[in-house]
Amino acid sequence: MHAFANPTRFLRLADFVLPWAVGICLLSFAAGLLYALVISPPDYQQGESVRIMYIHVPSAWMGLFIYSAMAIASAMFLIWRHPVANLIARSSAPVGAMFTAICLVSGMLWGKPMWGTPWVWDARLTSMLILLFLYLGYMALADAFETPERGDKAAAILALVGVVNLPIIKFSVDWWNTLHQPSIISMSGFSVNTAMLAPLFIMLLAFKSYYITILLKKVRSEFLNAKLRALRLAQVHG
Amino acid sequence: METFVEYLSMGGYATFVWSTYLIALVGLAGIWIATHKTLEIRENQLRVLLEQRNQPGTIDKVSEQ
Repeated sequence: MHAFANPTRFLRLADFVLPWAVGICLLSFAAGLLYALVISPPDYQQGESVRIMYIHVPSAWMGLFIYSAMAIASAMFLIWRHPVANLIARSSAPVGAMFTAICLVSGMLWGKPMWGTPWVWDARLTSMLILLFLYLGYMALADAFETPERGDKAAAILALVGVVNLPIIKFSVDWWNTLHQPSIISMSGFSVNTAMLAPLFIMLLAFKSYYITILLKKVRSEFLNAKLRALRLAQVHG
Repeated sequence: METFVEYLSMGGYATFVWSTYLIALVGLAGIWIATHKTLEIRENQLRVLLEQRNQPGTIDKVSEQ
């Protein structure tokens, strides 16, 4: 992995991966939406509102996954000072925030008809809301300093401190009495019908490849920005 | 036609289901479009800057200002 701290090598990898990521993203979105909205059956209890699950659950998984990626990238940045790691962390944050927000909003839209309330301050929902605040805080902190270097470092530390929230989110439904449904994936298998597992995992693939696409585009964009700044500086100084 | 309208009503949950999908798709598409636009703008700016650099007279003019 340290080999890809070299920006040129990373960009070459990015150029190779990007068209595949875009292709897989578009195909899996098409297949996932077809399965989620048409092919998969309604639930015997929840009826058609179960289709919200195919947006809600994968976006929750993405919110958690992206934060882990951000934290690992931040650790690599703090320990080895790899600028690529910092770019990955900063580029991931808005996408992670969006997925977390989608999870919360879709959860509210699901809770209203199913639970009778869009919100309850139980462990799962509250810790996911905190995750959203951590993402937004990270983005704000990174830009809050006079020099980008200080902002990058501060944000990286925040990302690492916030990691404690991840096991709380994951195990909240086991540790506390909660309105939220327990985990559907455990050591003993899936507690969900196969006909519903397919759209769930296809949508997860769609979201994952979407994240890779955006990440690679943003990192490339930041490299171009740095190059532009350097060239303009050189122009000014003759 | 009636079955299509019936399908759209999502068993009474139409508002909730379609709002979810709409918000998700708009949010994700928004980030995609914004990222792509910024990338395009920067690629164009870099191309212009590099062309300016490779044309001999231009940089002299900048330093004369």
